[in-house]
Amino acid sequence: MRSDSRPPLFLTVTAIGGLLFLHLPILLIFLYAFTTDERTYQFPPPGLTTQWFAVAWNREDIWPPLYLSLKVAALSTVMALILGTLCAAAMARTRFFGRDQISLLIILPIALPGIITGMSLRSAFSIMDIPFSTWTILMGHATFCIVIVFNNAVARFRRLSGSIVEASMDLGANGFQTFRHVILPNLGSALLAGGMLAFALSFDEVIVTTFTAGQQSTLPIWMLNELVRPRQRPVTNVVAIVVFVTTFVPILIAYYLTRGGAETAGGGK
Amino acid sequence: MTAAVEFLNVSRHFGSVRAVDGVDLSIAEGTFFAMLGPSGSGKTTCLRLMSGFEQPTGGMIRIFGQDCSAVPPNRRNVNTVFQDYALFPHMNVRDNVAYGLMVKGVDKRTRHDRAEELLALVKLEGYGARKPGELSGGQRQRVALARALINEPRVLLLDEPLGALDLKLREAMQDELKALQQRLGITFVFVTHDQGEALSMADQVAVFSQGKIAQIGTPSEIYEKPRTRFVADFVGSSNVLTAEMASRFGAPARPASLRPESIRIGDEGARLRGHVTALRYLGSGTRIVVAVPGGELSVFVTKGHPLPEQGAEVGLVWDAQAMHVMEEG
Amino acid sequence: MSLTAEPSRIAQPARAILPTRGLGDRISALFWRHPNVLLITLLALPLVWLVVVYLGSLAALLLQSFYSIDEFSGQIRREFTLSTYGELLQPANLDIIIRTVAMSAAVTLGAVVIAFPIAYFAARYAKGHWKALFYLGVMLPLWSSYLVKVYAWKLILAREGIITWATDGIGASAVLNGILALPVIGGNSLSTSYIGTWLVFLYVWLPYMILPMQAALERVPQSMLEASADLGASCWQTLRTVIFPLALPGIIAGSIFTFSLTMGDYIIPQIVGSSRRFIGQAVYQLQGTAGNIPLAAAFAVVPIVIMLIYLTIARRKGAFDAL
Repeated sequence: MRSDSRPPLFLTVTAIGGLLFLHLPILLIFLYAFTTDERTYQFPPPGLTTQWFAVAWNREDIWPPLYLSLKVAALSTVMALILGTLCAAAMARTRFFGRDQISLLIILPIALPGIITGMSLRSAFSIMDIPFSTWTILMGHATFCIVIVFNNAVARFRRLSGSIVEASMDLGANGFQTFRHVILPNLGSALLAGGMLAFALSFDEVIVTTFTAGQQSTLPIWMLNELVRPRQRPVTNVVAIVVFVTTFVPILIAYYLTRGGAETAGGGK
Repeated sequence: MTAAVEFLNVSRHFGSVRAVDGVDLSIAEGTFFAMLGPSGSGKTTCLRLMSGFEQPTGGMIRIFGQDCSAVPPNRRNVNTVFQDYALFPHMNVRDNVAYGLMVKGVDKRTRHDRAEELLALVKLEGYGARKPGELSGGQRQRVALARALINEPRVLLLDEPLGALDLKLREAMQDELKALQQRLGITFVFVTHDQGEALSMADQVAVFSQGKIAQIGTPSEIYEKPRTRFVADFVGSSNVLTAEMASRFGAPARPASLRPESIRIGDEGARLRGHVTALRYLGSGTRIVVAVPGGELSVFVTKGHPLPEQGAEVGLVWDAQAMHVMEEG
Repeated sequence: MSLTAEPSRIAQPARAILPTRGLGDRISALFWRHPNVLLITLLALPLVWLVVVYLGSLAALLLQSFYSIDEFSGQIRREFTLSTYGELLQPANLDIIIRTVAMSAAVTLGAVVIAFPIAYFAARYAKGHWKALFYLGVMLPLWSSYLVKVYAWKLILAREGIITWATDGIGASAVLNGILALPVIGGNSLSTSYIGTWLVFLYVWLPYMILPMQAALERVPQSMLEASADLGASCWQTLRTVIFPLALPGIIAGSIFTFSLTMGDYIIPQIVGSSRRFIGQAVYQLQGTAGNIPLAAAFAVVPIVIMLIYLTIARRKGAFDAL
């Protein structure tokens, strides 16, 4: 055996440095939520306080966007779960004419830059004179969330032994019983993971949303406005922490749900 | 008596691939029927046609006289033991076994009692609460068997059920399966590529080749009277004499099979002479390859008989009736 | 024992076919007899959604880009015209396009350089727990909130922020000021310079480069790297002649993401950067405050066209195996 498994020092330092580069900036968000300085981004903070959490709680302009974001994320997750699982069930094992085109169509909404998806929807709403509403936001979100559920579900479908479905039919179960008693329990955690990721993606989405929301404000749009025209800067940090945690926790859960399999949660974002 | 399973000119084509091509067969009720053949010969597709996982592109399938060609698997009174066992990974052993009753709407207590009975039948009492992942290969196989029997099928289909087991376990399971079949009195249809398994367990063997049945018969018929060169070769790797050679030794001028164990080594009455090119020790005896004019012959020398040396010239002796004339080359 | 003790059951006339129980059985039987019906049933809903909502919208985008705006009334004139695309060729608009493409290229290059050690380390040396840690370490930033990440950098790059503090602390403020004094890429502060914009783009899209690169490197057999070292090649030679070509499909795959995501972004340059616009900002402003949807649509078609050209080249290089 060659003992070549020890990495060169230079490589180790740059690799770990790269990972730190990816993670350290987020910590600043947390630090600045406690600063006493509300006008600038002075570092180090002149003093520390927890008052901004209370201030944020009492700011009435935060709650409606939060509700809207949660509503949109929940609804688009449900829609993505239904549409994505149907696609995965159809595509996991069968080969048919046009299959590749359909996979491309599923991936496209997330593969193209958000601005194209957003501008496309905006163009369509303009042509068809559709007024902005929760539904217009939802149309965009559900579309790019389908692929997240699809990826997770299709990987699990492929990992399941195909003969367990046959075994169920063989033992007298019809298609619906097989779905309920065999497919769904085995698909469950993959769907949960896919749903978590879809929720996180939707909750945090801003680029497509700005094109489909009109005058409505989701939490990310609220944050974006605060970034451009700040007032009480640390409050933005408090909201950023809320957004961060609301997306971070589902992602972590999704990772643990799909760990150990060939599938990787979120590999397809 | 109606046949348990009957195929009338059944075909299953996948595009241009003829997986099953005009098969006729009739399996009598209560037999242990083996479908033997190399991979890709169509035996597994035939089994899947019986269970309903494949639909014939031509012909008719009858189970107990009823046309089943258009009946889905869940409504056929046949059950399958899968090659990979296909146990439901999210259910414990008891729920796996009871599954067939559960989907029929049998109440929990009854189906659990019944599952315990079947687990006892396959000698797995007390394993009900375990998950399939915690069992050994042999135990999983028994669970699959118990699960397939809970609906009391009249025909049990087994798709290479012993393929994943090691040799010792496989031999023990062969005996058990045979005993179980005799006890239950139902029809077993068994797919295997292992000719030893087929010959030792089955009442009837169908040898498959390229989507067709090459021969159906009892194990001794298949072994001793192979109808084609393929059967002779695949079952017990027989010597095949060319038509010309066969006629030289007094048989009709057609290819003939000659089993290695039918040949003796000796000078008296030797029909052929040749040089020993290889010896292979097999435990119960030794297989010797002898180069003769126009080819080579395998000779099986049982334990205790003197062995020639590598390269020695030997004479080969066999009875005229040991040569079995085949239909084609 | 129980089975043998039930001769009555065996004596029953053999029933080959079980009765149908209800609608579920009947529908299942239909699906069994006609698998295509099942396929169509499953795909109908998602396909209608994707075709109508998504492809329909893309078609609407194209359609809009061939409309024009009436200069007097400000209304959209729904007649076919190429004049909107003609507007793209005005110097100001061409500047926007060139600036965006240049930034995308710079971000992609930077991402390749920074991603490589991480991907190489994760693919070759990380084992067990470290492997999981590296995977999470790349995956979590990829998935965590985009806006939060951008905001974090606004804090970092601010004039009174941590970088200024750190450079002052080590007495390197002259270097920082020197960099900011550079023409074109410099500016008033990091948060209003191209360097700042570039850094944030790089940070936000970096994971998209690491993952495909790592996937490509993991497919390179360990022995191939060792063989090169055994033959006396220096690390640098191994890197240049063996590893880099093998990682190339992954790099191209990653660059598709970094390039296209940079081209389509309008938030980062709006928050961190100078007032000079990128394609994304142009699209956003034109469709919003300016109300010129046709020109916005035409602008949005530009990244599509550039990406199509890029993808055609990438496909020839075999980059799609690494996706």
